Amino acid sequence: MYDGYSNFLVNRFRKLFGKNFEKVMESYSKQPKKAVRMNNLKIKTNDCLNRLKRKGFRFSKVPWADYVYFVEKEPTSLSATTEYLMGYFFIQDATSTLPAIELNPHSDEIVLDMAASPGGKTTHISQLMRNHGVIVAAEVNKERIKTLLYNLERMGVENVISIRTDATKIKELNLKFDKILLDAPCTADGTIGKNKRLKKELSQKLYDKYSKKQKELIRAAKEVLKPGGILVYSTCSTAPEENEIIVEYAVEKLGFKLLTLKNSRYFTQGMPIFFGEKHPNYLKKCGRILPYQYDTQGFFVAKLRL
Amino acid sequence: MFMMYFTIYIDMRFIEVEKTRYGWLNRLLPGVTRIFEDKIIIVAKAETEKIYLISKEMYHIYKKMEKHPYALGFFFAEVDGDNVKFSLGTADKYAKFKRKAVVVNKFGEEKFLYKRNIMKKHILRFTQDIHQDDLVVVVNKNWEALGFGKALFSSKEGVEQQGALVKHISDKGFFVKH
Repeated sequence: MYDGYSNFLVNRFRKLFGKNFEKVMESYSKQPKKAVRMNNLKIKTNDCLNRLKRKGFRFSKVPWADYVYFVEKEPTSLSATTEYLMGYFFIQDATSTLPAIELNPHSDEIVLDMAASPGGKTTHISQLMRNHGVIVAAEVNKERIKTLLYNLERMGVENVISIRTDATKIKELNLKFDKILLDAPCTADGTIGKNKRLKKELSQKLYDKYSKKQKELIRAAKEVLKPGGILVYSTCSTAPEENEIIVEYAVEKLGFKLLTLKNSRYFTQGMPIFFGEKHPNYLKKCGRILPYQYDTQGFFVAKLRL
Repeated sequence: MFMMYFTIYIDMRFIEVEKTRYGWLNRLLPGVTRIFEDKIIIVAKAETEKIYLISKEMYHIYKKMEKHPYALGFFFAEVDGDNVKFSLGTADKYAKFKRKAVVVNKFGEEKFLYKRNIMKKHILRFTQDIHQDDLVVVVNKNWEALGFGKALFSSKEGVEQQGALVKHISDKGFFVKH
């Protein structure tokens, strides 16, 4: 009935999503909508839209930002356009623009992006900082850091220091940050729509493995965040083990305070009850995008203050 | 007018300004060191030298860091002995100076982005300061930089000759291929 899925995953999603289970499964049977973020470091949104519209592309605005658009019609590959090569836009899932917006970085701040490649969120943070201030972008993988650098160059980003390091060792830099984005490595179970292999590959062991890693990363983030500093935690997973559990850990064990999301109205509330267990009610302040809400990937965001 | 420059090697050897180096870059691409204004120059030395330009603010953070960066700020060029390869970001900035530039039509743009040379039929116009063998920035009709090429003509003599007039060096099609 649910083609290609393991029984484990079907049962898990049924328990997790309850009455929304069928809608989630239907969304995962389709590719998520492609989106573009206009790069206001290089071009005005309308100028870029108009150029692309003249080439036959069609767009519709996402609800939470006036420079992020869903692609409704793509007569040729967007990445083959001059506008793409000029760095006038970045192709990314619309939900992936939410963490930088929630982080709300200012142009006089020092910001850490803990898992930076391929650079969608780093270049977005730079855009919001108007290419001022400093972003430290950490990436451990040599090939992925090259991709990050190409994207920084294409997008005209000049305020980034790229570091090749395991983010759990970020303390070794001897820097403190005003704001941190931790878009954590995860099972990516919110991307089943485009990564069909996940239907079979995901297991409880994998969820637990990532959960452990995410706790390590949020601990590392705490050590380099200034007192009163802001941490935005996000994943492209809908799993509580990778999301609410991590946020609860950050609040209860690391002394963070969970904040209300600026764009909370666009999210489904975080879950204080899952898999039959009750957790603190404050977890409702977290935000989850379920894939059927906007025909995107599934996503999770939480905003914390130290 | 240049501000105070200083060059810092990422292996933490600090050296004074080498004015001859700037002269050399300007001979390759006249006025290119205008891009240095208000920036601090950092040279990462390995098998080649990578030149980065950073803000004072970034310099303060960089100095505090106890780990070497992989890259930082604006990537200006890579120098290997006598060869210098200006970055595509430098092409963007240099195109704004409207010097040593060849403007190509849509057809020429497509060809150049696929590593092809520029022929007479691709050229809309060019600046009047081009000599044979000069490094030139190739731009489209909106003056958007596509990359760098080597002029096989001089603007004084015009572009009457057959065959390639600008030899391809680098182009932004790179961003898709990688």
